[in-house]
Amino acid sequence: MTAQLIDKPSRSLPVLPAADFDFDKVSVAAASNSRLKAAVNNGVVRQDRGRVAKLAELPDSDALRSLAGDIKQHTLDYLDYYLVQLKASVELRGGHVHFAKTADDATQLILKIASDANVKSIIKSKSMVSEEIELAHSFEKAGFDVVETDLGEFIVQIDHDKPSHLVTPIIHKDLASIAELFSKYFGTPYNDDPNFLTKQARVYLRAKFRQADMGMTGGNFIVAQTGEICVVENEGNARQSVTSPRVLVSLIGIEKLVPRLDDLSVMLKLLARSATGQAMTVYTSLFTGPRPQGDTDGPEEFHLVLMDNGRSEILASEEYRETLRCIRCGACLNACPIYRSIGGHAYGSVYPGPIGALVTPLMQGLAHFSDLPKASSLCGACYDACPVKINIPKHLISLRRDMVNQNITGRFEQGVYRLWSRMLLSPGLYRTNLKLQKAMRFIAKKGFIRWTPPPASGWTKVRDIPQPAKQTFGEWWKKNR
Amino acid sequence: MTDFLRTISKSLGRTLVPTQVPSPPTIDESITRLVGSNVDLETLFLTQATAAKLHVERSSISTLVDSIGSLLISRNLKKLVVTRCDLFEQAQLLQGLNNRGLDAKYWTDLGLDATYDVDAGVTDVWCAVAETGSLVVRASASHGRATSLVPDVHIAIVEKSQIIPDLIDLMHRCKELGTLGGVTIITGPSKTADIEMNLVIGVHGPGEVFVFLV
Amino acid sequence: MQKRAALFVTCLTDQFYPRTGIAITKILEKLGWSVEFPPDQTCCGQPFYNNGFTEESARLARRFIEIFEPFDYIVTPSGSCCAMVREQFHQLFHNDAQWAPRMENVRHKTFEFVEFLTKVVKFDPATVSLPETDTFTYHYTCHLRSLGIHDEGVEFLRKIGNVDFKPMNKADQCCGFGGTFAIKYPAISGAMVQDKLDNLKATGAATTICNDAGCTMNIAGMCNRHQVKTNVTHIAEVMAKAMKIELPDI
Repeated sequence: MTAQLIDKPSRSLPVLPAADFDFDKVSVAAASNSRLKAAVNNGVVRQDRGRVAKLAELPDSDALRSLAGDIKQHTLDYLDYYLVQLKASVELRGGHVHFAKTADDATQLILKIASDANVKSIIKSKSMVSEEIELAHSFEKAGFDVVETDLGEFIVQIDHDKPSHLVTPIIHKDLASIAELFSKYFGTPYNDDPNFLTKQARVYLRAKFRQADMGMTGGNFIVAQTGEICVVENEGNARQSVTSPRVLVSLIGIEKLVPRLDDLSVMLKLLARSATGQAMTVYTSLFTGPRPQGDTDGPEEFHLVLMDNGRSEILASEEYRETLRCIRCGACLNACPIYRSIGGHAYGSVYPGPIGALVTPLMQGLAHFSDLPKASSLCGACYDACPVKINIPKHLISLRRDMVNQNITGRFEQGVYRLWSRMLLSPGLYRTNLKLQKAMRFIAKKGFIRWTPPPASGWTKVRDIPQPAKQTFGEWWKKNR
Repeated sequence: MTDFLRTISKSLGRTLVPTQVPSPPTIDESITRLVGSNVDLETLFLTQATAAKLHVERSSISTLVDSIGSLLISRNLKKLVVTRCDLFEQAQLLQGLNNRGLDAKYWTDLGLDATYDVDAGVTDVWCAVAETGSLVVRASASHGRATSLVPDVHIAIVEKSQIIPDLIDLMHRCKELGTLGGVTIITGPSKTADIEMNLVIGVHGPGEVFVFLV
Repeated sequence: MQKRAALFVTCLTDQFYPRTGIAITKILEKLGWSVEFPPDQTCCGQPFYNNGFTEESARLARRFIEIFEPFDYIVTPSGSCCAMVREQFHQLFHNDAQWAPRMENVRHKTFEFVEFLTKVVKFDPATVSLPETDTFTYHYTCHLRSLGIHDEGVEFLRKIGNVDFKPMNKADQCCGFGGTFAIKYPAISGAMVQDKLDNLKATGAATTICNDAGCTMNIAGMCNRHQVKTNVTHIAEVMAKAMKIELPDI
């Protein structure tokens, strides 16, 4: 089952060919970029500590995370049932429900909704799935006036950049470069006061809110039983998307379903705490369907687009289904020492960090992203942080196993490991090898060695290695016990 | 849709969508609930709302017009949109504010576009949550959505009886009474820290939220 | 009847830090335990499991179980090897009718050294003291996470007499060892160990406690490359000093 899953991605590949992704190049550059590292660490360490502090307010955060994980798992295990229920709930409230199998299907569908409704201008609020399919780009190409209204995403859009974090998209950008960008974009003198810059964006975007024909949202959760989409935010731009335009389109991945409204009390107590260390974000909205008869704001027309784009294949895998529990909180990114060292862009996809190291190969092909599961020390900080208890280290190891089984891991490397393991099955060979390695003492200076031969030369590129001891423990035991 | 669903069912190892499924996991309140009804909800709400950077003041129905009027005048906030509700009728809020030289109109008379040009929105609430110090508004013809979102300043009047203990209770309420045009949980003034983690208050929603507790 | 514990020394400790193994042996003996060292032990299979070579790791795991199952307790200085036995062995064999009961038997009596002293021996570190006050800092080795261990190691250290503890910033952030990760991704691993070095240096501590040989090799190697003077060592060697146990110079 797994071999079929990873081998040939059947969904449309992104605009940038995955085959061109060179992890080594980008990660090495990122790791030596001290400006990037400072910016990233400043943000994520704070958020990670905030998470720990705020979770401590809960009576038993560990048990609550287990419960949240169980709720998501249950929903995934019966996703067909809940999708049927969801469709009925939304249609009962007057909304239209569409199912998009691929990124292309979703894009074409939404473009058609916009053109059928004579839409000219579109306001978009933050949505990772829309980034996944590069929807704004498609809108621009088709001649629509589309603007990202989340401040970070707006900055990404006007800078032709890409987000580098699930929750704080411009964590990699420093103040000076943003000030520079705004000065150029708005044609105003350079000003690096964050308040000034934010107000500048606010005025610009407020005019867009006021006259937009169509609003777009994503969804943090969507309730099968009653049809509500739940969107959390701090700025208010998602609320604007569901207030002023006459058409509303919400594009949501099929894995975002939860069965009941009651489940939101569990999810909401974990989401903001895990993401940024807040008990609640400033706004949590629940909405569905067009506006009821008599209301004078809110959408006249509502479309829910539920997208697959490879998720059903992950669902089919008993091993990897669990990764679909993800509620996109970013806690794993914040906790990850690799993410802290290289930032989000080095992962080559909209989903960076530990969860990205899983879903990007799963969705876009393990062969194209073979470094992602391996570039991890398996420290487990991500699993500790995950509010729905996705066992990320376990899945990373499973992907490594898949790579061996599919010969994505090179045959020479496989040979080295197999030989090494054979050697360890024989105590005689093991002890002989220890004796041979002791010869390294001859090239040691003050107890350390500066150079190790291949295939271990990567070690001494960075650091020295202590010399082997005069006697191994086994030799000492033999002599003294 | 049938093709789409068939793929999902197949992924789950079956050919047909089940007509019944086991119940979802039970929500254990001992690990989920933070606030029960046995505490002083008013004081808790006040503490939590203040911590969330809402400005909370105690008032009464009879002094409401005075409290709100003074606040608006001291801030030089003249043009107002006001939600229509029994509480405000009872307090004669609209007339009272206009009598003080302010320019207050009901949401139903003003409408969405004009709301972009007001200085403050004065609204009632659907309820308030003590656990998080949140206001909860529910959209309707008389309340709107823009009233607590578009103006730079939001003034909310909360009746003590409207304070419920926990998010758990809010979700029960949503299920029982329905979310209608939409429910929003407001827990502070609009903000962002996107620009190099610098906190900026007042982005796309109100930068100041005042709460009068009656 | 004297209590018996088998020492699972681990391949890295065997080759690079035998004094840690000796310290553990002598400490347990001093506390009234009989320590056995099954001489044919080699490796728990962790590097193979972690890199996707499941069959190879299973072979080594079965061998481990055969060698260690006769003993009452199994003690190891390495949290990551302990986690391999307690967690990954379960994933390897829980569906195997023949090996599951043997695996369960072994994993329930395998302990990391500090965990063993605290939970089984019930040793109170406050009963021993270093000859003079010395400054210490502590690195949280990652695999303790999967054993459900968090601050126990630090608390244990701090209770030892004459320990002047200097906490490290980001003490629980991975040092960048990660087994073959350090060799395959030197730039990333390097950035991680550099960060650890910066934080460790900022404490000014004379000794850095690091209870895993791999991490110790990584951090000590980095300290040496950058001439940062701190003695990176396992708590067992510090305890030996506090208990006036002599360790040979090997």
